[in-house]
Amino acid sequence: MSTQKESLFSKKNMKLIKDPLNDSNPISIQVLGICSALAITIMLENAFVMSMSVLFVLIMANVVVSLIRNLIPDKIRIIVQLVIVATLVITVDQILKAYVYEVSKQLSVFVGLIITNCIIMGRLEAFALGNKPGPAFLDAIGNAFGYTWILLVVGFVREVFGSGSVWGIKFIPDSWLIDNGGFYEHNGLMLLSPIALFLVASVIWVQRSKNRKLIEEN
Amino acid sequence: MAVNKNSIGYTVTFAIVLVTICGALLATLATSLKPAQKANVDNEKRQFILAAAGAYKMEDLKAMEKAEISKIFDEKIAQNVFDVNGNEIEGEKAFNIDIVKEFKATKNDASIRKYPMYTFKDAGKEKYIIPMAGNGLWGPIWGYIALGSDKNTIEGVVFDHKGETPGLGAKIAEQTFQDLFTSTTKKIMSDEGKYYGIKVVKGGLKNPNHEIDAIAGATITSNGVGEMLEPGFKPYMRAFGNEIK
Repeated sequence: MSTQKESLFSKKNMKLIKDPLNDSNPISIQVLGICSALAITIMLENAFVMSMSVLFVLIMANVVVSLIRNLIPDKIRIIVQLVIVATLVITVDQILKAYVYEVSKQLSVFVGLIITNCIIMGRLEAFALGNKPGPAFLDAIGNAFGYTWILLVVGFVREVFGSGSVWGIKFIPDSWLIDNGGFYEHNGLMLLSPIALFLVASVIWVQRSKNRKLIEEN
Repeated sequence: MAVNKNSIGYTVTFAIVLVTICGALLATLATSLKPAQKANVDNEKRQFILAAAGAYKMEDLKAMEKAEISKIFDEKIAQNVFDVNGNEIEGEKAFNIDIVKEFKATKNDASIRKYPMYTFKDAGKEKYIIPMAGNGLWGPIWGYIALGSDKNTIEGVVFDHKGETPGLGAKIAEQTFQDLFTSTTKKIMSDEGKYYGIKVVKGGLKNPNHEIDAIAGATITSNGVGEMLEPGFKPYMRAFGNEIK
């Protein structure tokens, strides 16, 4: 038992956290979970709540699936994973509706769609099914934060240029706006989903130019 | 392990146990969170009604505590429920009627529908706030339309929707669209006492007192708003003593 405890923070296990932040980032390298990254990053707060929801679901699902990995019948393993993920997602959805109603309205269907988020199914199938709960926990944290930081970057840029605010706090006075006789106009494109595609692409570009081993051969 | 994990018996038992556990967890959770969720929905409804009445701005209402909103609401809002002929239904509370559910339940027969109304009283002036529901492109749309003390001129509107397309149909919930109803005079009845309602039209207003410009690119949502607003005021106009066929 003590050897397992020790190895939880071993170099190999820390890689589980670090890799998804950069070298095998679920969004920018594996290009998974893009749908939600495009849809809910208009405001930083939405991106944050969405990320925390994914964090919760991914950690719980990874640990639970890892705990019962030796009990799950092979034939129905995908269905079992889905049931567990769906239960967790509905839990999150109900809690958001009860305590952060405004945000839950804005996230609308996308919380429900965490069920089909490829990052979660991917980690369960690729990692949790074959590893102990400790490493599965770290793997979940790594991947969820890999997802989170990209969402926060995209959300930040979109909110600053699209609404002139950060976390709902406006820093561009209304008197600057052209409508009010000023010189500034918010960038409407930032409020539409397609811009997130460009922003994610920019992140990928910057990341690969800094980390040349990620560039594919051909 | 002694159990054969691939046997049908094991697979079925595993599935049943898993589903039972998950089901029980969710049922407990949903029941225990229900009161908090209902409080949020009720609070939002009060915000919409007070915002439509024009007495408060939506941003200010959102910053207020639920108890405070509830207090203002109870002090200043009177409630009535009418039938299709404009006769008051006794013993019904308008707030208890979920306008979207009521719309869906009676969509084939609007004559059995209940029509709730809220009356906002402040400083001797009255406003009549009429809730309405209809169909958008992807799901229900609804709104609260406030008429001034002449019981005819629109003085404020708030619309919301379940899941219209952001940037297109979802614009009905934005200020720019809602301002169309109050920036120029919009009336339900003509000066001659003929019922018009509010139409949503494309390509310029021919009857500017009774029409609103549709949203470009959101035809079905715009039509939904029109279908909701054009006949929607009839029972209320009857209740106000107008003759409408």
